[in-house]
Amino acid sequence: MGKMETGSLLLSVKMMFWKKISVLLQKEIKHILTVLVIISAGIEVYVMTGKNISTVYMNVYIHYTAGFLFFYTVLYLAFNVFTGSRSSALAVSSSAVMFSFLLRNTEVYDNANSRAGMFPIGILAGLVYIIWLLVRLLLSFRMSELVTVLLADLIMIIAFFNLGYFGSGSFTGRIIYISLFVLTASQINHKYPFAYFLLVMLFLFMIPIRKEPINWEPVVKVAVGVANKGREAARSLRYYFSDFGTGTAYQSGYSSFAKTGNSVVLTDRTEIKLKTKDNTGFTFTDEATGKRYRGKRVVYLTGGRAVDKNRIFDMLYSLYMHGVDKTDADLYIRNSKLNIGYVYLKTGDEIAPEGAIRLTNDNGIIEEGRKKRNHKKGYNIYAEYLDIDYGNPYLTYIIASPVEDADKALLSYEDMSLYANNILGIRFKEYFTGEEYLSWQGYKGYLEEDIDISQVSHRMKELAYDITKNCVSDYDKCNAIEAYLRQYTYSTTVESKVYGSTTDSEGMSKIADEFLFESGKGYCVHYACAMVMLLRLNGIPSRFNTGYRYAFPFERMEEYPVYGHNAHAWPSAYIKGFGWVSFEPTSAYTIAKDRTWHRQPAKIKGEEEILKEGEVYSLNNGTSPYPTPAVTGVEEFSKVTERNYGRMINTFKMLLIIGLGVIVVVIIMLLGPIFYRSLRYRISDQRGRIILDMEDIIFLIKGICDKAVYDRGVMSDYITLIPDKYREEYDKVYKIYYRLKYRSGNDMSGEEIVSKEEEIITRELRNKLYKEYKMKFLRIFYVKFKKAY
Amino acid sequence: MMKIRFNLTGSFIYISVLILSVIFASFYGGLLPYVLLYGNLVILPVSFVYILLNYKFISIYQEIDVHRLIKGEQHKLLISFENTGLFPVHDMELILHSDRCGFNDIKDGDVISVQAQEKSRIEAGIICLYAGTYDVGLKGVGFKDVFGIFSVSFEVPYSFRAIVSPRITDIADNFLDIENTLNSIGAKSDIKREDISGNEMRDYYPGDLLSSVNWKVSARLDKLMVRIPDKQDTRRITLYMEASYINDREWDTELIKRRDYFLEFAVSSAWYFVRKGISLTIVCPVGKITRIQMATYEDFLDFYNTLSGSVSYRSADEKERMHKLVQERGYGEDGDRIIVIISEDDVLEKDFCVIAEGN
Repeated sequence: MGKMETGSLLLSVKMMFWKKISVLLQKEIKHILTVLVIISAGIEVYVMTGKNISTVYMNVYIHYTAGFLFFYTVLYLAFNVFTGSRSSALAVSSSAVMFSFLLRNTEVYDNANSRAGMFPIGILAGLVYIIWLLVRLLLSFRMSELVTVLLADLIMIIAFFNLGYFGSGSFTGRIIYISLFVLTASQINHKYPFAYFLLVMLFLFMIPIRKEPINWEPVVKVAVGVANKGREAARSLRYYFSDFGTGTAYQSGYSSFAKTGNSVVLTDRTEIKLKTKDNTGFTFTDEATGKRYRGKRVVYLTGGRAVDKNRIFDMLYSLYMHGVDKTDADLYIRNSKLNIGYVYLKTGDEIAPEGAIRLTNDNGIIEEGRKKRNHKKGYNIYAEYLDIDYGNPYLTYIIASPVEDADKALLSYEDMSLYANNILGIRFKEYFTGEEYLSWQGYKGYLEEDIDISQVSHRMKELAYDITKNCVSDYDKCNAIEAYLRQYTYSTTVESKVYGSTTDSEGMSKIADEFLFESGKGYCVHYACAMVMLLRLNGIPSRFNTGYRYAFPFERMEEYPVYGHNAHAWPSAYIKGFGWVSFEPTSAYTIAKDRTWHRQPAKIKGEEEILKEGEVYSLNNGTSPYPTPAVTGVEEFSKVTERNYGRMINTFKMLLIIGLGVIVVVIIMLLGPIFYRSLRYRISDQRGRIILDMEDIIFLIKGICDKAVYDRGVMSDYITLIPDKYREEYDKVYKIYYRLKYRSGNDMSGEEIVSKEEEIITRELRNKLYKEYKMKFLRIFYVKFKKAY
Repeated sequence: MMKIRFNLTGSFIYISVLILSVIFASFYGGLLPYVLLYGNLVILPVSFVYILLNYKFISIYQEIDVHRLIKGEQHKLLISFENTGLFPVHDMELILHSDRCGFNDIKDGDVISVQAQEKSRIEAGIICLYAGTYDVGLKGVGFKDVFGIFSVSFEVPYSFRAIVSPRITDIADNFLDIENTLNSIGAKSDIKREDISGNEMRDYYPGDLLSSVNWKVSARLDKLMVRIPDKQDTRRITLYMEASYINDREWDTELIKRRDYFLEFAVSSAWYFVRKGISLTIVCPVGKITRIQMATYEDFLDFYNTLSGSVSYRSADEKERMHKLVQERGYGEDGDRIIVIISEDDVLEKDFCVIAEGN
């Protein structure tokens, strides 16, 4: 036996009157919906074809139609109780016609809108209903339903695509599509109770429907936000474990300079962050074209040197010897401040701008350039430095024409202090001590290692000579070598065979030799090594600097992130009579001359002017032939930051909404059953109340007793579980419950079986047990609280 | 307890349709795409709610025509369904205790639909396969969602607990016979018997003990009559039924089978002795440990009728006491007796039934 219908095994014991109604209603609602869909679709099409009917009247029309259909259905059901379906269909059809005629002259038809072309409501509803009944009588019920629904589906889909957003925004449209969905779904399993589909329909009516497609943007934003976070985390991980593995390519970044020579992968992880209140750009007028340009300031951050005081003294001395006054100095020197925050940096080196005069951290002044232990993320250096425009022709003139045979001892500490205070506007003595000054006076300016040329190949010597054979001054030689090297191709993909190192002359020679004569291409490390060695071969002390080259963006920012690909290596040359000067042989970056501030003596009146948008041209875009990867990265970064900020707000909003939603759902879930129960109790009769009380009593007993309870459904079982003092009462109560449950016949009400007093006893026991239950949990809470505190 | 199972094909189709409707709504706005999308989204939760409501409002009662069932005999099972809710119950699957009962007219997986406010009932034949006390009939009911994507099954809250009496078989005979012979106990042993004065009379012969003379009868018949000596068992038998301690909730079919074998063995053993007219004491746990004296057929019937429904311990301590009793062979209480120990814990093991002399 598979499916059990009514028969010998399944005997219908009792069919209540309203059970019949419920079954019939379910079927009839299905019919009504079908008819409503047809009518609503008719109205929509009517409207779409250009008839001017207001939305209000359309909705009124639908309501009236639905009302009439319900009315006819009830009539049909009423007839059906007494006669067969054919007779009742006939009876209802005739009454529909009659009603339609009777309603013909009511005020509904008299208003302006209906006169404008609206078909009489009652007649239409009645006619459709009649047609529907006829179809039902002619075709089998299932077939008529299926055919109608599928046809309606097809028409509505065609209407949706051909008539624009068919039905969107109107009540009729909503009825059509929701009803159609429900009717179509019910056809898939047509035996399933239609009550279920009515529930689905109820939910669908409550859900808002928009005219626009789903907006995935917030979700995408959240996903991108999460992906970014993930990428950031992956970067951190990759960075911290970058020492592992034996890959030939290493990632760009300050900490990677120890191993060089091979290919490098440019990374965009943030290694340090800069903060400054100074202007990060400048404007100038090109004399040749008369156009105004905007330029970016570039800062070279050196690692491991801290404050190179000798370099400052050398420069000041040179300026002094050239008789430079404040007006002149202002053309190419300005006092600046910069905060350097360490992010993902694995080094003990102090990173500071070239020209630093004082470095401090949270513990005080920084003396050493290097710490044994690595600095942690969040380490900050506060730098005061002299921002020097080495591209300024006035300064280059001074560099190129040193004062010969100058005796440093002739300028005393006091005089130097006065001079520096005058041209730089700083309190010299606060930055430099007399001992330091004295030490400088006795210092030649460079170390022996700065002129080490051991292991240099013969061909490099020849090249060094060839490049500078026509140069007179050291500065000219430097420029010549710089210009020569800049002809080489910049490339991060290098197949190195020498495995050199930048830490000593031998290593640098190897890198330089391979770069100059073998590969012919390289990146900053190769250029810098080559220039250092070529300078030394020309007798100019030089050194290899590592750090960052950072071009500030045009937009002012709270923080300027410096990425792994901003890490840079460059050479400095010791030029007699001036001291250390940095050069930029790497062809990917601009030389000092191309990034000069273009200050002219006549124009030094205050700080740079701020220009209006549209009047300004980017210096780098307008004049420099060299690629500036760092700049692009920074511009992108500013957009990315804005986007991230936006995403954060959206994510926060979404999380807030989700959070609130969850809270509301939880509250509903918690309070809903309580509310439902109390409502049920209120509307129940005496029998219902006692049964509910008994359910509560059993629940409370289970809660109060500490034993595991196996519920056999036998109330007497609980006598052993209930506290002794309530045992007698419970004995009475469960007998009341059993009496009520099993003695009740259909002809006996609860009041006849159980007295009012007995009901009160039951309720009181429930209340007492509830108090007991509450006390138990308060006790448990109290004990736990006491234990915890 | 509620169990949810997903149908792989149904789920796959549903997810595919859902994805398609999401794609549709991502490109088009308006009623059609959104109704499709929301419709697909709500059908599953609404199905679940509908099923929960169905289960909440369906009341199921089971009854069997007799109070005490006999293993292997068919009885009449009546299952009533009453839907007190507003929503019809459609194709509710019946999950039966098929592992322990046989059914006629219905089978596991049959479906039934009950309209709102309708009462229906099923009559079927039920045969309990094992002795003991356990749930029989309808174990649970299952509901499927409208499109067969998932199904939810619930246990019937109040299942019918039947008390099934064991059958009396010759299961214990062979064992007891062998033990009887080997240990020379009970009815078949001549050694363990003694003469007592019987009720049969014969004439006095010289040499008969004076004490055997029945003076009353002799006076009435006017000749000396003596009682014919009768044989009497020197020792009596105590049967220890060491049932397992099983929590009410732990009953599964394996345990039921074990209890069935145990009860059948115990009852058959008792019958073995009773039918031979041997007086028997049974020590068994009926909540607490009880000694039942059994001499007559009526005594056996009483024991038989109460046995299957009441073998249990009221606490774990009681079980411990029983075990101790068995191990110490009755603390000397049964010192002069033959002790037969049937241990449920060792069903199908070598030591399931042991016959020994009391300490």
